[in-house]
Amino acid sequence: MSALQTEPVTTPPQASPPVAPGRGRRLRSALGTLPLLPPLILVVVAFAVMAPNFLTSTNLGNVLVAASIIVVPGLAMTLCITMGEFDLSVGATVALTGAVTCTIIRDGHSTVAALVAGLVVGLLVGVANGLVVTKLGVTPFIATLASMVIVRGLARVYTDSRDVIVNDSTLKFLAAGRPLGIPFPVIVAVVLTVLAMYVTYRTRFGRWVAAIGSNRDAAGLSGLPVDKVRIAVYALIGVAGAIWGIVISAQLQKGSGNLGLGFELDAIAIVVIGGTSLLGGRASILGTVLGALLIEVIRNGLNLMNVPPAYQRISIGLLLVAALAVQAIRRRVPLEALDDNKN
Amino acid sequence: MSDSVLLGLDGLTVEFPGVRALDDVSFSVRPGEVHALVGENGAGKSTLLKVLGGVNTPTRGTVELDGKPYRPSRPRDAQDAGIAVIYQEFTLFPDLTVAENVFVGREPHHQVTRAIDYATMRAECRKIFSQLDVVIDPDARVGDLSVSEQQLVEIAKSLSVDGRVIIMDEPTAALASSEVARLLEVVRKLRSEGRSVIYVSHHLEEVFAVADRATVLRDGRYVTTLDIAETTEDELVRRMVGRDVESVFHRERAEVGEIVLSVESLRAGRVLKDVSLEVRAGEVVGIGGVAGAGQVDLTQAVFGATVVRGGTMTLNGAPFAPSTPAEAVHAGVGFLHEDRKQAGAFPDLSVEHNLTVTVLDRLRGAGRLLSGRKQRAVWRTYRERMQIKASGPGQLISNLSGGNQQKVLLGRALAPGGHLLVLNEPTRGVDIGAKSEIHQLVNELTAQGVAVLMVSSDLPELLGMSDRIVVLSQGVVVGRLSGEEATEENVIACATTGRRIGVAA
Repeated sequence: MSALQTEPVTTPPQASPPVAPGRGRRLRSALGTLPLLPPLILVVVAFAVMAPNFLTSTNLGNVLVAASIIVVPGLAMTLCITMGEFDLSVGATVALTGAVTCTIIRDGHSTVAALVAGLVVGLLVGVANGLVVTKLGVTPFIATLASMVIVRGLARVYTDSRDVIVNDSTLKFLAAGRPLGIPFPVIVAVVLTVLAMYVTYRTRFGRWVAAIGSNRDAAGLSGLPVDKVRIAVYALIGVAGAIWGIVISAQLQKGSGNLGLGFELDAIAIVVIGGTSLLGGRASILGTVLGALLIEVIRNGLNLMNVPPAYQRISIGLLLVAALAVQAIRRRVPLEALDDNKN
Repeated sequence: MSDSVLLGLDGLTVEFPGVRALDDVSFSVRPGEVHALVGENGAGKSTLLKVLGGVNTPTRGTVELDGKPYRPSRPRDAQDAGIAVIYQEFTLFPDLTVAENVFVGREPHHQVTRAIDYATMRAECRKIFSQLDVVIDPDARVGDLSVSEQQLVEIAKSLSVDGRVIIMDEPTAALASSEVARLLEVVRKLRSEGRSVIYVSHHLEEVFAVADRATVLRDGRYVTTLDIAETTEDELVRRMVGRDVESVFHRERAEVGEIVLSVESLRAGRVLKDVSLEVRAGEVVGIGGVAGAGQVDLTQAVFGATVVRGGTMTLNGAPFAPSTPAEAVHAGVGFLHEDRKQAGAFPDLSVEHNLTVTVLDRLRGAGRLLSGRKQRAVWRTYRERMQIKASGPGQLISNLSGGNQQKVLLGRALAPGGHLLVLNEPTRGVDIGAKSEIHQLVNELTAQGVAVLMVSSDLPELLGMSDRIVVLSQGVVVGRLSGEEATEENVIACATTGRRIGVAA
């Protein structure tokens, strides 16, 4: 057999040259995680040319409000997906919390009490999800699929499968009020987005969420309160679902057990399209905001062009596939780099 | 050095269902010493570390830290007591920054705003790294660092909890030799600060380079503790092995025929750098070495399951470069995965289905539908040939004993009609009886002209069943042993000390 040559010890690639820590790097990495900006601009330009009335201030305002409403659950879902999990029950939570709020108002109680009750119901749904996932060890997919069905059923039982019609000025304000000329949902969305960024990137809770999504076993071995964090994230989604439910009910001035059908997929879609990895570990809050804008721009533009809703669904589905394909291709890069090192 | 005791283990016993992983182990670690923990695979080292780290709970026995009982029930307890374990599988978060990793779970933060104090974290990080004489950017993403830098992050993590006892499990397993030197330097530095280090390694040269004392474990039992200054590598190896090669291994040499597999200067996967070997018909070539020396890369390269980056292979004289396992199977390579549960058996399928699953396309009858008759015929053939004990073709494979499961999988590996078997840990997790049955089977298969490439971390098996042994270390061949040279001492010496036998240096 051939004598072996001992290989010269290859020095491994040294650490990337010391990068200037702090803002410069952060800014660049923030831009790097916003691959949605170009497609968003492209779509806006395309509709500006093709769709009549797209560029009117009323229409753009509508788009902004729609995106603002959907971004709130999207923010909570971003945390959940960053943790490597997701929640399918949020659409059903919309129905239940909207129904609860509207029913309490219809029955003549104070609007504030109705809002609080809606939020508390959302919180309870979320905590229940969290407990089932952590304490019973049911995988998030099955646990939240079951809770989606149960909560939807509860909403129909609660409303007796009838619409709960209300006419309430406070609710109207939540959906369509314009303090300082800015639509109220937009204000809520901006405030919550800033808060979400702070929590996600600057607090222990946010970093623990990313840690759990990055390496769950290590999180346990490092002594992180893994179960508490997970329950808290599901609780947040419950509350966000309640906010969503209240605003949608406020827009329609009614609660219904059929509200929010399929909404859970919208909430997950904007997060994934926004670039937060389904594998967990990396959150892109701004990506989620852009994802919400992109989806709502497309919906609105296609509406204006009289494209039937079924085709809108198809286009959003295709968008989702494209976003995931881009993520998958990005993941593949390291392996190809390995291949290139052949010699 | 003082004789005082920092960490004292007394009668430590850990039992898992059916296994006693640690059996009455007692020894002590002094303050400010580097204490090596050595032993073969399965000697109980990892279990011991997990007890100290608060992951496993001892069935019996006690641990004392500084004279006080130490009973961690979760990893956090260990950290709080100043015992930091650096597991072989790092407990790092690739998506977080270096500073975030070092302080995970203990981030300094503002009481009211809840904001993490990144400035303090960065400063503390730099301080720790400068103690270690290394430069790592606290803001770098850990996933972007090299393995050795990640290791240093783990060490920084253990220093940030002010670990008095720092436990390192195979810290050099993934390091290049220049990085090993740097790591040993860090270990000495830790000692000079008065910390104790428990250093687990297969590499005896590292043990001799850095440790003050070494404790030997074997089969879950305490063997001895030796002063490194007063012992030799040979002595340590003898203590690690310490038993006769069991006589259950009865290799019946078969007539050796043509070259079936030839590997030339193969470079593949993550570790394998340069390996040449050949396997002839009727021959068992054993691959030895410590875990991670390149065995996995070698067998996976032959099976088309990893990236081949250089070198050539031939199978039955023809060029052979499978890029997927399917190609390898098609070319006649049978592969037995080391992890039967994860990557071998389909637990919910019948034994017959498990056996025929790779050859179903040949078992079709009228209308291209699967033919039950043909499947049954294959089952009967291999039940006979492999002496599989099952109640019938429909029995679930998960209801068979480990040994019989392994026989079904061996049958599956051979069913495509190949003449090369790649066996990874063929008797891991099977009982003694089934073990010798499988060995007998290997004897019969080689007598039928099958060529066998076998990886086994079970030394007696490797020695007992191989006609020739090729020992790997860090991706290259360091030993080619056959006949009288094939002894446990020689295999361990080649694998752990870098000594070369039968190979030009």
